[in-house]
Amino acid sequence: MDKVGVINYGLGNLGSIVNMYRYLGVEVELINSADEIMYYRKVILPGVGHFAAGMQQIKSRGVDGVLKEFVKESSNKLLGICLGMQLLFDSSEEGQVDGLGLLRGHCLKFTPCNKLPVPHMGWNCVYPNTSDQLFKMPFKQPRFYFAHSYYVSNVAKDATCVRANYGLDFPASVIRENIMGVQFHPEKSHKFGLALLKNFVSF
Amino acid sequence: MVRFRVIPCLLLDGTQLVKSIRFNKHRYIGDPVNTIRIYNESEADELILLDINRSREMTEPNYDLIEKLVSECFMPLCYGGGVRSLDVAKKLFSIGVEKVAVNHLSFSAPGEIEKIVKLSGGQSVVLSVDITKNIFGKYRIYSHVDRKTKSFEILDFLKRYEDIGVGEILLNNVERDGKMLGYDLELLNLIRSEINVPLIALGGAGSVQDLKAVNKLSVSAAGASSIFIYQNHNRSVLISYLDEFEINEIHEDA
Repeated sequence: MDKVGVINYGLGNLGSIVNMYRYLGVEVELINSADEIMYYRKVILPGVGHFAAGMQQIKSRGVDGVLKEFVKESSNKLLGICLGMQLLFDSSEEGQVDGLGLLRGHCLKFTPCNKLPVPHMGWNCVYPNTSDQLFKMPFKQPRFYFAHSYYVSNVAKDATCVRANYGLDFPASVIRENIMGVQFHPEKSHKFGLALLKNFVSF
Repeated sequence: MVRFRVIPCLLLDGTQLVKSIRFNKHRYIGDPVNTIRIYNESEADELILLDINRSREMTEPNYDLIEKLVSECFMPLCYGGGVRSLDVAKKLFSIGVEKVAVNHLSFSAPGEIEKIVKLSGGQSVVLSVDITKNIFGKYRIYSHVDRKTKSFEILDFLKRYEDIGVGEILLNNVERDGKMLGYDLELLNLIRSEINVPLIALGGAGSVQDLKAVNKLSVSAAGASSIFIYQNHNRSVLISYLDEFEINEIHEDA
């Protein structure tokens, strides 16, 4: 099993991700500077908060350039979590900045409709395909903890999406080769999250 | 569709857990680490941890203890108590707290709440509002630090914070706290119909039926304390969460 690097760029719940990997017995380290990223084959980009603030932190630390190099090597794998997943895309309605552009798509805000409050908050089911290795787990109906007001839309066809629903269908996860994102928080999703994070290092 | 949440709420007094009745008569319950471990093993949806002294004593949260407690949780933990500034919130997020609950800050420095929302996103900020009845029987917002009611109209107050961008509102009914006689469903229904952020009801749960009733109102979550701490109406202490049958009961037909 590879060791996992979790990028520390000032935003995101690093402690909980580290906690889960420690519980799984997987070696996990914080990546505190961009030049350390290339030492790992499995890297996680966490994130909580504003799209523009996230990109600003990433750019100021030079993380954007290194990540683009990192994913060029197909045996390297990148997993974006929550805001970390949104930042992988082209852009967002939240903030007037570009994202990393590693996946094609744009983030939109949920509008409260049919009496559904925003943010999307709580446990919700996802519907993976049997081929989605990241979601292979011995549970009948995987569900995860979501906490977000923006969702990814217009995802390019070269990526596969795992569906969830909150008033509308939206991608709970997007995967294109070695670049993956999950909108929910596996580090806060009990046995489902443990299984997913374990799958990520087992590829 | 997102599932209704049932959230154990824990009160911290120093390093011990306590339980109240109408925000009073605090009774020692047990050790927080062991209690959280039990909820984690039971796969509780989420946890709310409120330190009852920090705001009044104007002290910092007990970060070491909170970090230890968070490390026992594979579900989100919302912490409240002494969250008085952006710096305090940042420190809490950095040690693994998923959401911070702000209460006294909503009276003393609303601008600070706005800063926290801007930094970490609304989904990380819960507005915690204590509600009690005044002498005329009308619901008013209550400040547990000042120990008196405020004159704000409740809905105006909540909508103001909705505009600021808080992600959730925790509505804590002081009247019903610890009584195990049911939630005030009429009040919850009224607020639910006017507010567009997820609402967490707290105060009054005495049975699984009470939790189910909150679900039926399409309120996002029910917080509860006594039913997860006490075994029966004699209030002998036994920490537990819902079993599979109770979970199915709460979620069916809702």
